[in-house]
Amino acid sequence: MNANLARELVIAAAVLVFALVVQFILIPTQIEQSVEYDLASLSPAFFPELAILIIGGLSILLILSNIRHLVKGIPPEQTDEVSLTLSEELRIGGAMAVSIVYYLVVDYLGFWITNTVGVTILLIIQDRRQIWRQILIAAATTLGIYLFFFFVMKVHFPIGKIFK
Amino acid sequence: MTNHLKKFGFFTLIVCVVMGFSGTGIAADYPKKPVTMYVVFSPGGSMDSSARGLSAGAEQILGQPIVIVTKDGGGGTVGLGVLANDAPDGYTIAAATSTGILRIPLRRKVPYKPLASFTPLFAYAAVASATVVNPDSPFKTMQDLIEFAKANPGKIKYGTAGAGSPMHLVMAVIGMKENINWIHVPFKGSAPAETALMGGHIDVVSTGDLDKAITGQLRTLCVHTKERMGILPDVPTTLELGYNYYNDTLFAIYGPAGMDPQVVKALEDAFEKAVDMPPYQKVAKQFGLVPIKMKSAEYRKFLEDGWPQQVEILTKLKLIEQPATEPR
Amino acid sequence: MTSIVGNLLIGLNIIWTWEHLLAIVVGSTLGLVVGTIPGLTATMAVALILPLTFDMDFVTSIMLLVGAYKGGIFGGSITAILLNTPGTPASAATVLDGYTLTKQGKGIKALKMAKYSSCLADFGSDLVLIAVAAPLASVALKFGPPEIAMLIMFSLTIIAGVAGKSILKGLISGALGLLLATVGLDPIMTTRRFVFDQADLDSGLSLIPVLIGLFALSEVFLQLGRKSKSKADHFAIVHSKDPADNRVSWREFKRSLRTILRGTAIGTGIGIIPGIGTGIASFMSYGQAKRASKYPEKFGRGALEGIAASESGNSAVVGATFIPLLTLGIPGDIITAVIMGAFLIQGFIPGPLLFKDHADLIYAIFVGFIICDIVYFLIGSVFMKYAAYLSRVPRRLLFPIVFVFCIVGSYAIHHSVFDIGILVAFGIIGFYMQKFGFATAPLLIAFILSPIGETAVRQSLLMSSGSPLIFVNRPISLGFFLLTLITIAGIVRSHFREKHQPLIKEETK
Repeated sequence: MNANLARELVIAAAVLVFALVVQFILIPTQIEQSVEYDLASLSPAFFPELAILIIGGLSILLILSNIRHLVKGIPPEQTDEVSLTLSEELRIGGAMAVSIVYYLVVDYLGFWITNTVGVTILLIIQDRRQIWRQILIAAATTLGIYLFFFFVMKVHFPIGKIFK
Repeated sequence: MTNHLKKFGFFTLIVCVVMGFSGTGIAADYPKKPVTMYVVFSPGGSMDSSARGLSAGAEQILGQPIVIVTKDGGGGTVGLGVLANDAPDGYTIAAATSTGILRIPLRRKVPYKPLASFTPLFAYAAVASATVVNPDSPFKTMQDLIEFAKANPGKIKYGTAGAGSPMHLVMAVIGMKENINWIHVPFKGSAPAETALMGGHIDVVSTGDLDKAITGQLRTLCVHTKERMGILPDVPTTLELGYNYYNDTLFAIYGPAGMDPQVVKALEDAFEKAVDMPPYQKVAKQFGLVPIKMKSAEYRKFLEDGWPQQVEILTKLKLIEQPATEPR
Repeated sequence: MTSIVGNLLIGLNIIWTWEHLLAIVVGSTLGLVVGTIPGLTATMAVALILPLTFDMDFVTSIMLLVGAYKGGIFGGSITAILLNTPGTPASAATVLDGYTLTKQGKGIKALKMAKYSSCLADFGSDLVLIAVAAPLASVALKFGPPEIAMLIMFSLTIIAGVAGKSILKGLISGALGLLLATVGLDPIMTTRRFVFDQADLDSGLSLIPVLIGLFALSEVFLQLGRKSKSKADHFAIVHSKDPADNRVSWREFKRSLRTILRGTAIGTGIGIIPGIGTGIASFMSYGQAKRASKYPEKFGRGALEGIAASESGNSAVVGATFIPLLTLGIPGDIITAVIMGAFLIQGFIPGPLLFKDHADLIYAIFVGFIICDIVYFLIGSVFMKYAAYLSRVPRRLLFPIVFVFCIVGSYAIHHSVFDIGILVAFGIIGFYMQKFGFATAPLLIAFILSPIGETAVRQSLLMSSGSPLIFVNRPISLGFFLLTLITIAGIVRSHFREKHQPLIKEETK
């Protein structure tokens, strides 16, 4: 069993677990029951459960199809995915971390700080030289976007709770 | 190198502070800078257009621009939720319907205390709704419809803008009083319901958009306003027909709780005058809005009295067992 | 026939003033600019202009708004092709082939094909609008909840076409989209589903952050991972050295003509039916083109036909949404609803009376539509030249900027920081989905279609008091139901044929 096949099996199993979790934990707790409803119109839980049924069923099929590949010795279908080196993955992870932190702090620190710092970090992730220029570019971009959106689009960015 | 960094950082910090500066409004010089008004429904609709018309007039009186910011979602609750947390300095207000206070919080939990989180400032329009049918429909009056529905249970399908909406409640109340079994088909807004009616897929619509009723493209059987409407003088109201319910949804302006009484007075006076000014009048005519002028204290009372009434109606119609949100 | 021409001439007379023409140009430009910026949509462009029109005369204001609408849709296609970021949901299908073409160095070719397809299709649907608005509108009214439900079901079969290599995974992706679409309030009972006590989720997951996250932000993450080799490292090559890559040859265009016509028909059909929404037109056209093509495997790998299909679909919708609006007073989609607001504010109630009382103004608007098409063709060409300068921007700078636009664009719709969170979440989800072989297009399609479909199915059941026969009792609904079955049968059959082919080849070696 080669690495590809093992990975495919794990993925399919993970999807199945996800389906089970939603079906047995999330649906009962998160779908409000209304006081009284017309049975004719199907319950609010119908379509979510239908979706889960499909997901669960298909994940089982995936597992079976992978097992079939295993038994017959045929390599699984090539997936569309791109292979990445470890340093690339780390960089991507860094970018993701930046975006998560951005979301969490923008309400508190305000658009100016968050955006300038965020863009700077993203630039640094790609190329560690010339940090000065990067900060300047980040600030200039932030300013430009702020002006365009504020005056042309009339969009008000978060000021930042610490400034209130 | 680090000197540059420090200077730059300091500069950015100053700029941020200046940008974020919000003054504490002293009532005597209110307003000193532009006022932000959230509109809790999306552009093009009656709420948004009327709020803009009203602000256009009010800003002339206040002497400062009123900046409209669309904050829609959740039937109006998202915008109200944001307002509840804003500073009550008079520079952030919102235009919303009374349903955000009196109806929706009863059915689901909302991120504010309906009767405690806001300063009601001014109610400027009553929303009109009506029961309409196709012009070629066999029902010429409301009585025709009711008689047919009584004789043929389960046959009449009526559309509304959504379960629990005032339009739905009107039909539900009538249904209960007359012991009718008619079928409610909810839509996402009055417009799709009217479309289905015009296509013959349903029989009646209880609608909040009156433009087709006004032009006669659809026949109006009754209106749900407190008094007969000037533009539809021959159409009876639900009260006249003997049903103890009418659509009392209002469009109003709110501020966060705890506003300075002088600021409140400045705002309610400005809006009161703005109702009579051309920008608002134009919009009101087009959308069929019934003019109302309820200042802060009166509107506050309206909301506080309205709360127990709504609880009663919704419980009787079995839409809720108890309010989903505490009023205070 | 002669009366239509006569009316058009009257309309031409009315619209031919500096003010009106300027409105068209300004509107189109603004729409193009806003649409091109990743994250900003045509809807925003129109909503932005609306308050400015309150004091203008009627025809001017409508032309401004329509120009922004058309320009915005096209602008969205520009970023879709160049940056894998659909500027509006309507352009989502364009990224499938557009971005691939850009990566192959054929960006300009893709842009030009998009331009030709869009303009042709727009023109086509405008002609339909002018010629047969009224009778078509009454056909559209026949689409009640059961018909819409079956139409949606049929549309969902497109998913099979965009599922990528593994159809099982593609279907899982679609089902996930269905599940995610149920977050928020139940459309019939208005009870909460999967809201986790967050008031922001009451209206569900906003489409734009999901769209941008899945398609654009995930790509940004991927690109940010690549180390920038030198200062001069530029992203993709919009201007290739081979002149053939920078234009669309007559032969290529001819080959796509059929697709464009089909896309126009599909887009027009979808635009006319109120309540479907327009985001699906591009996908439907794409799916049908792929099915009808002799080389379906090329779709998704840089097929010009793919662009022709999706662009003609999304542009044809624009003119068509005005058919129900002007003849019946029913807006075909959100943007048309905003424009209807403009009508009302100006004191004109769209509907049959408007044709009777103000036919001259209506025809002026019709002529305006045609002029709009010409204008945005011209402006679009100019725009594209500037868009090509994007290739000069060094890669390490370009993607952080796109990142910022994604965030800002998601925030700007509802002024909501929560939407930024949705964006980031779906950026991450989109990235890992693609990494593990799950196509993201099926998720998006299901996400857009299921709310409409679920509402329609449940309304139909209410209408029939619970009997599912309502879907087959009515001619149109039955028609789409059968069409769906036939399509599914076709897909299953070709899937098995594919699977057995390689084995057969091996045996005959």
